Amino acid sequence: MQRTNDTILKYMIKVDNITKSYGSIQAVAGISFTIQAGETFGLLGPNGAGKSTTIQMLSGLLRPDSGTIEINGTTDTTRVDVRQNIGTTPQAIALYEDLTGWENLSFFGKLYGLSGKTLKSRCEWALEFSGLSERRKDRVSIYSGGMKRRLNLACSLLHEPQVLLMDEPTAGVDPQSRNLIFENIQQIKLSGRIILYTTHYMEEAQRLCDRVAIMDHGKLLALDTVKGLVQTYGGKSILEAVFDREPQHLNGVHGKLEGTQFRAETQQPLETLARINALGVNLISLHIKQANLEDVFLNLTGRRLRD
Amino acid sequence: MRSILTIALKDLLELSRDKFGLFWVIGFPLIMAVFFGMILSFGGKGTMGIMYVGLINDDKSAYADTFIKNLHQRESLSIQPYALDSAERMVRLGKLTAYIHLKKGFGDNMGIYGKDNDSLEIGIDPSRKAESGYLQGMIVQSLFESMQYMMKDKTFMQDKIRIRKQDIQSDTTMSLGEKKNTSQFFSAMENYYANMDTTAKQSSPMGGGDAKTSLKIKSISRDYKGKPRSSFDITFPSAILWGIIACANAFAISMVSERRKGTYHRLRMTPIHSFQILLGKGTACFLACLGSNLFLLLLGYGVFHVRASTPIFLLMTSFCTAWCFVGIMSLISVLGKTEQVVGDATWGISLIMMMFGGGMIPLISMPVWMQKASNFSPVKWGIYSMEGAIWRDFSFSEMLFSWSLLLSVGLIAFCIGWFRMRKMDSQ
Repeated sequence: MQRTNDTILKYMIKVDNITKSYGSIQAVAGISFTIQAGETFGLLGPNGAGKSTTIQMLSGLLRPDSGTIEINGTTDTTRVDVRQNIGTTPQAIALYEDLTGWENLSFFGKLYGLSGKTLKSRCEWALEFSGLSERRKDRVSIYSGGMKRRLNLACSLLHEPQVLLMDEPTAGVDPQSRNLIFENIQQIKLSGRIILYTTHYMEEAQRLCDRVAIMDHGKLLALDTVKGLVQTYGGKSILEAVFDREPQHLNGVHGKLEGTQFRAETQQPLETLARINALGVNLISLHIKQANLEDVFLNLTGRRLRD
Repeated sequence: MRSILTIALKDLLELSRDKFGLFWVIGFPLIMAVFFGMILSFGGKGTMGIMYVGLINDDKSAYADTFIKNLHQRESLSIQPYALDSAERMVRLGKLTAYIHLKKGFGDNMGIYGKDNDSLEIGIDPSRKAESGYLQGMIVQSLFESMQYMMKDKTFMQDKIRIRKQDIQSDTTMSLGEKKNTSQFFSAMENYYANMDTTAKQSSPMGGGDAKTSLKIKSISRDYKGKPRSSFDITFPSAILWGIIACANAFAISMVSERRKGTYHRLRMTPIHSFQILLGKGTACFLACLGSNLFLLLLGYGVFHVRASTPIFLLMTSFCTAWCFVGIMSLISVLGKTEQVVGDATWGISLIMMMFGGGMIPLISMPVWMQKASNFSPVKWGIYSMEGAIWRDFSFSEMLFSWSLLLSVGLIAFCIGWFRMRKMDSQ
């Protein structure tokens, strides 16, 4: 994953007002965004928000009803040569259970035009990347859920794509396997590829993505960096403290004091904390709950992400 | 082309690891072929174990009559009188298992103290070794019983002994000593019969004499033109179609399984056209059909003596039938969205096709209305052309008709499947 050549750095994706309907249900209702080279872009939204449909349109599986998708200057994403530069990690574990890990990798590698020594070395790399070198001869059917997920991801990287589309790659895995997958993705990020990452876990978007688009009911509700989203839509942080004694006055610190217990809602919790310090009381306990993407989603839609 | 072969080889590898799938592709057809082949070979003539034998009696002697009467008493033999040429023809056509020719002088030569065994001839196909041995046993037993019966006949035996004594006197090959000894034996026999009480129940002297056990066999090679050599000629084409249908069903289900599990989406995300995916699946199905076909034919050839009268026709038929069912597979695979629906559909359609197409009841055993209905089943044309290449001795033009039908059905079904698949892909 050391490939950081010019081709990768110049790559970009432009999505302009695309829509997609299934009968009377509008899955995607006119979304637009641009992803720059080397950027990890997150699509965060609950199930049914239209994330997977967007990925399918980007990967050329579906044509938008209207609007355009441009990948590196090409607007027809169903073209075979465009797909050659895209790697897609589907939401489902799309592997052949009766084949071994090696056979799965080799099969998909061949479909991407790899052969001979290149195919072999890429398969070796993929097995090492996914931590499955020792299990290469085992059938996928006996792999654990996390192993299958990692192989699922590795299969989409075999041909060194310039764009990686990942549709909820950690769905249904245990925390340990999820961390391994995060490490894998952070490794991929270093290579400078474009990564489009869909998830309904705000922690994942917050940890991995440079910018995040919040999606719900096929619409893009907000798009910014994680920090920008939290600042704009996250609301105030909550600061809760217990003092060793009741202060005589709050000296302009905005908050609610009940005996020794203090609670404040503030945009700048650290500044509030500094002012508390000036009150001359000692803190027995302190808890600051900062706004996060969950709050952003709640404030934007009135619902929680996993409702 | 590389992508198509890659997909095909992957599918074949998956099939080879699916033991249950392999059973339906190879095991089940084999069981069908052997099981029904054996049933038909035992019961094909209507009555189990009966051997149909023609009889030509040119001798008309009392001994011949006794022999024929004894043959008729054998329950496992059905004896019918024939002229020699028509008996030979019937054996050649396979309508008679064998014929028995009693030549003139049979009574003298084959009977008591006869000289040679040339006067009884069996005409039978040399390949029917078991039937030949069985029939010879029946004949020897009948000869023996005939002699026992005739030796109780005083007049007959006295006449025989007198003729034999005259023969000895005129024989130039025997020495004086031999002539004296043999004449003494026959004089004693003459004396025994002269004093024999014909009213008393008794057994024959010497237990029946020296029945000749070495019989003359005439080879009549059976003419199989236009007729099955054995019941396996009928059951193997049907079994091959069962194998082909199992392949088509397995691949139709695997297609929907890929769609449901997401591997089909993944395939479509690779830089190949969806038409190549279908062709890859089709190629795998085609190769699996040919593999199943080849396995059954080789087994039929090696063990059950199934022979193609025109091997090149059989090869062409295998290709056309496999293609036909590749098309049907692609059509069936888009009939539903789950393995359950497609699985039910495949077996439902297959059973109807097999039932009317001759996969369950041999085409030659079908009632007329069913034979007409069978024209609508591609299975019929597969079996028909396979039989055409194996034993029906079809001409090229007859084969061409079946091949064209199979290829057309395959092409139409494939196109419908492809269009439907494209429609599903865009949804």
